[in-house]
Amino acid sequence: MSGVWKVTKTNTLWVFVSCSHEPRHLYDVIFAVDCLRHRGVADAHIRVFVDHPTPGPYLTPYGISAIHSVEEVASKLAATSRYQHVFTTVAGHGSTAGLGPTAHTVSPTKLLTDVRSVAGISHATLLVTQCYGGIFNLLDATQKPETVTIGATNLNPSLSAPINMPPIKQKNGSDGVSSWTANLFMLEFFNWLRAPKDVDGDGRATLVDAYKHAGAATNQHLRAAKAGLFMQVRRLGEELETARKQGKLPVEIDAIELKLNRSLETLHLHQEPWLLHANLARQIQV
Amino acid sequence: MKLIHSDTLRSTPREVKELVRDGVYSLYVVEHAEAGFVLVTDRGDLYLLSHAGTIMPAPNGANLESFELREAVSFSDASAYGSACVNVA
Repeated sequence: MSGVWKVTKTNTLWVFVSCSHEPRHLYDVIFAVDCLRHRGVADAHIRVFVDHPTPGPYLTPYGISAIHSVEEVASKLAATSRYQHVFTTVAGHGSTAGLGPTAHTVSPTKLLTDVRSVAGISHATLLVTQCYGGIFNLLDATQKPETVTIGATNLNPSLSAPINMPPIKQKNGSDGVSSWTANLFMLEFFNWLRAPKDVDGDGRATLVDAYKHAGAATNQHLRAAKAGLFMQVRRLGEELETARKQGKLPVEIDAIELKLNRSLETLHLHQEPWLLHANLARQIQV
Repeated sequence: MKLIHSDTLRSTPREVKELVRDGVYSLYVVEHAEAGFVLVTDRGDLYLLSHAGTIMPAPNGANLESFELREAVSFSDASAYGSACVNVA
């Protein structure tokens, strides 16, 4: 492709794939969909694939009704046409083999093949925000239809941190979720998409700008979060010891231990984003 | 989705409520004679919660399908631990 190609309200199919039983990954999707709606994208152009056991009570109040299981990705995408571009966001958990549980792992090549199967598309974007997203790197991006792949992190876990924002409105007009442990890269990528800005000064707001904003903003959040996490880890360590001595309920001890372990992970791990096929990404204006 | 103040569940340990707010644990309003909520941990362990948040073991063999889930629940107030404020455009 040469020149510039522009994402409009109707020429792009927005796909979300989330392998996780944790509601926080559904909140990530809810925020992203809210950003797309803010840009005028109709729900008809959005598909959500999850393996959460009860996605309805989380997604339906926000008007997200096109909910499918992750196992349906291939068949649903293969049956879709009329779009020029498919933008697929992978949320939830990832592993060193791909997405989903060991018995039904979706490999990077399989997902890329599924995305490319949408009839008539000129190109596609794959935004991988889950752990070990780097295993989606270094695939053949120039095979037709060409593909931009953006990774929140390389061959290591993806980091999430507690955030606060104005409540996301529910379909009935009431305030919805405003605080959760968010996938920071996904959050900032879609926050950029809500109101795109030219980051690198080339006069256009493209996927490259989204990548630069999301990567830098994520690391700013993490830098701020780590200062607080250092103190939190000390406090949680003491709380865990006390809870064990006092014979607290196992559910409370488990909660403290989990909070401690996740805080330690965020405190000590680093996250480095990456982008494959910069020449195409530079041409896709959002 | 139901947003409640975390003080509503005054008998629930703070860390458990934090993990619900984080979106790591799941909390649902349920129709049940003795409980107001059902809690699911990241490992899939199920507990019943009274209307005041007292944690009780789920019946043997119970799973999520054993309950009539009304709404998913999170908290309307900010985390006690602090969190990053995201400016939404």
